[in-house]
Amino acid sequence: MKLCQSRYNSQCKLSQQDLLDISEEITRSYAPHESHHQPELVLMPVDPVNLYAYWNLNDSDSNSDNIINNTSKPLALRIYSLPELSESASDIKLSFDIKVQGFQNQQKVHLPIAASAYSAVIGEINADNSFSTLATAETIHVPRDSPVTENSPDDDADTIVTGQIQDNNLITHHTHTPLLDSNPDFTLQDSAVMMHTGQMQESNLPLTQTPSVSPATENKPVTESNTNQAWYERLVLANFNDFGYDLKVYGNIPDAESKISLSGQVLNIHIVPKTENTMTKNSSGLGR
Amino acid sequence: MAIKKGFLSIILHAHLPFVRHPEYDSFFEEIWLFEAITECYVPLIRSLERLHKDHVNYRLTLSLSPSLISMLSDELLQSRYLAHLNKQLELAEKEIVRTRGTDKYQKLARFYRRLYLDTQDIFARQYNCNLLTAFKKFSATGHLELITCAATHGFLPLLNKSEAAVRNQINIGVQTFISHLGFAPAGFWLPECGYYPGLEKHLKNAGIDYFFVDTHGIDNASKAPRNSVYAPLNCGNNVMAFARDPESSRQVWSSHEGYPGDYDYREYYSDIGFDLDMDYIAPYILDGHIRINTGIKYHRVTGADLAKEAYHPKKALYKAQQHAHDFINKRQRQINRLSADMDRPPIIVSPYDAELFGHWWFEGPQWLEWVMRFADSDSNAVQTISCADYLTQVSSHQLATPSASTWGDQGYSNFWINETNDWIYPLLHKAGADMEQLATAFRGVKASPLQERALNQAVRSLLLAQASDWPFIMKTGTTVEYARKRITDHLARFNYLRDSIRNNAINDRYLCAMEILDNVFPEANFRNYYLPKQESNATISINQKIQVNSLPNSSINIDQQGVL
Repeated sequence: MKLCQSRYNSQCKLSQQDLLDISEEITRSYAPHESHHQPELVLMPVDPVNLYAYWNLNDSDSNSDNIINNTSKPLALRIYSLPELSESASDIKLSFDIKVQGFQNQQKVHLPIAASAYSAVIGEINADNSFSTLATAETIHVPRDSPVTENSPDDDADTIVTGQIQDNNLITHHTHTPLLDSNPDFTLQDSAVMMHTGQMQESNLPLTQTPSVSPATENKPVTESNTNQAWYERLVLANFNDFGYDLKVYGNIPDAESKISLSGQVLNIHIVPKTENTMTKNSSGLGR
Repeated sequence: MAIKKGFLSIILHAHLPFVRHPEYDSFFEEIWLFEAITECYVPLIRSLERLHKDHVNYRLTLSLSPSLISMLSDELLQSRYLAHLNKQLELAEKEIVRTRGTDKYQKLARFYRRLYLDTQDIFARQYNCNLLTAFKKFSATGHLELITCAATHGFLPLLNKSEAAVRNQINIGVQTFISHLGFAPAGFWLPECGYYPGLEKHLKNAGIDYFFVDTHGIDNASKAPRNSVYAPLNCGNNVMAFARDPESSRQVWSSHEGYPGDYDYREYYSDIGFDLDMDYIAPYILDGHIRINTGIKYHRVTGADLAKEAYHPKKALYKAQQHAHDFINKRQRQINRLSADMDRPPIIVSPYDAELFGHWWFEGPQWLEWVMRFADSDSNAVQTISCADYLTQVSSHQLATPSASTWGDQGYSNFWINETNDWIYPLLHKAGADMEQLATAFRGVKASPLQERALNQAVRSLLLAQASDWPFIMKTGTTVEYARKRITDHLARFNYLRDSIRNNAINDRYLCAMEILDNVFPEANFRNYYLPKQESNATISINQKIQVNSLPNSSINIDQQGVL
């Protein structure tokens, strides 16, 4: 009988059958399952217009075995996006809710708005339509899907000679450049949907489905967990672009005047078109 | 020597998942390595040998993945390959007898016999069963640049939930390369060309000078690339990103316009494993009754909807030469076109999977050899170069960050996360977080030898589960059950080790079994998994006492509070 030994313990000799038995026993008893110490929500970028979310709302540290099982309230995954607008437009934020079932623990999300950064929370929708957060995801960046606009003349200064730059100059996040100048895709403005503070009127130009707009149902601020910044819900665009989500528009200024500037900014939101990507995949190596 | 107008850099990325099953006498999936040795790696070595003998001045880059490095140097797999090759020889001998009376097939049967005998000579006699020796030899001549990849080809954009996971894949990959090849690699092949902004930081820390992204990674960079994809970008920390040239890639990859589909080339899908009577072929197929490719193929592509005609090796070789000439001519025209608008010599970067050459495209290694020969002739201004050489010759590069990208289907991560394989990521992330906790718990603590072994083995189990091959296979739908089992087995082994360590109940016999089963990366060290800035995050409220005084030769008591 052929015996095998570990390079770290030559005294221990095992037969093929021993190896097989131990392997099977370990797989039988320790096969992975999702068991987290605390509630968790994770976002992963898939491509410029899709992300993937998974969550675990179990809390092994609490007395309840399963948060979801203890509640009959509907659950929603709320995605926040930071639109690719000019830097001055950083005072608006968009979100959309995806209703999820209690048995679900993952969701692929098609993004209706082109943005570079997304965050999310998952939580319960209460009877008064308020939202109770159960877990929060870290902000992620999705890939850029088109070239940036022309560089400024100053960019020549960026050409550097190998060996001159220091590590503390490391660039880890690209600069967000407005897509509007270079991208042929349409914006809300292109679709000639005109919006006035909290209201919209339809035009004759087509959108996949012209969004119906209603004033926000509440004006209570939501607070971003990582910055403590308050955001005020201003507009709701029902079934936005036929994606099946209601798009909510938030501003971070509570006064009424902000709605005017907000409406101007929303007109320039870049909507993700429904297109097919035709890139071919590589064939790969043996067994792959 | 006249100054060349532009450069061509061909990169072959050689990778196979780590498949080694000592618990069985033989294991079907090990044939992936055996076929690649016979059809890809040995033919490549043959070509490099001929180029060397003919004093051809060429430059080629070969990326060797750490899992492939580990398999090529593994004695068990080496011996099993020799047994496999003997079986191939036996089948070729049988075929010579069977094809008497059909001259064209018998010539081919003799051709395969010669091929296998020569393979045996190269593998066993010339390189003592370790092909890394051959690659080291050609690297030493200065013509072959060797680079490496992430440890188990982990798809880094989706492991990025944990920086430690990404860093570990990169660092153990580089360590494995150094320990087998004897020097540090300058370049790094990102698995599946999977890049995200920030990855260059880990590459820099691992001593890497350059890496590759797909075309749109540079096209969509943080600043418009002044030289399109024909010059690298400096990511801001002196790590350079080179982009794949779409034009030269298409000539080889495309199923419509690519060279491999030529009618004179050998037909991959015509194999005697499927064509001959079961009684005859049974000893050479899986379990004696499941038909598989044997590697003996008698037909050429011939053409759509036509009866397959016999393969003619000399005609195919002639066609490979023609295609190589065409390839260089097109690169010459491309360089002429590009040079006019560039402030530096263009570099055309053409990366391919090494396993395309010889396995899928039987004549690929000869084509590559002739590309190198034509590029060395004076009749053109195309010079082959490695990316490291290019960086030596051209020192100034535009500063910009590539965009997140891969070379897979649709250019992003879709192939590695979709409805067929998305279930693996919560599990991989969870195991990664657990590994960070273990590494943090033992930081600054003297672990017993048994604990050290268990912790290092946990790192190996995690790495093996993270291979990009498993979600890839699940998506392609080929050997899905095997891929699922591999991930499950490795995560189960990780969980077992984690619990054993936490409970101070490490069973030496079980640990030995895992060290034998997964004997990869002996240099893995759990202490390198520790990521300082996440220390506080890894601390949770469970008090755990670890006692090591039950171990032989140990009298240390360690109280670990609040770290596990």
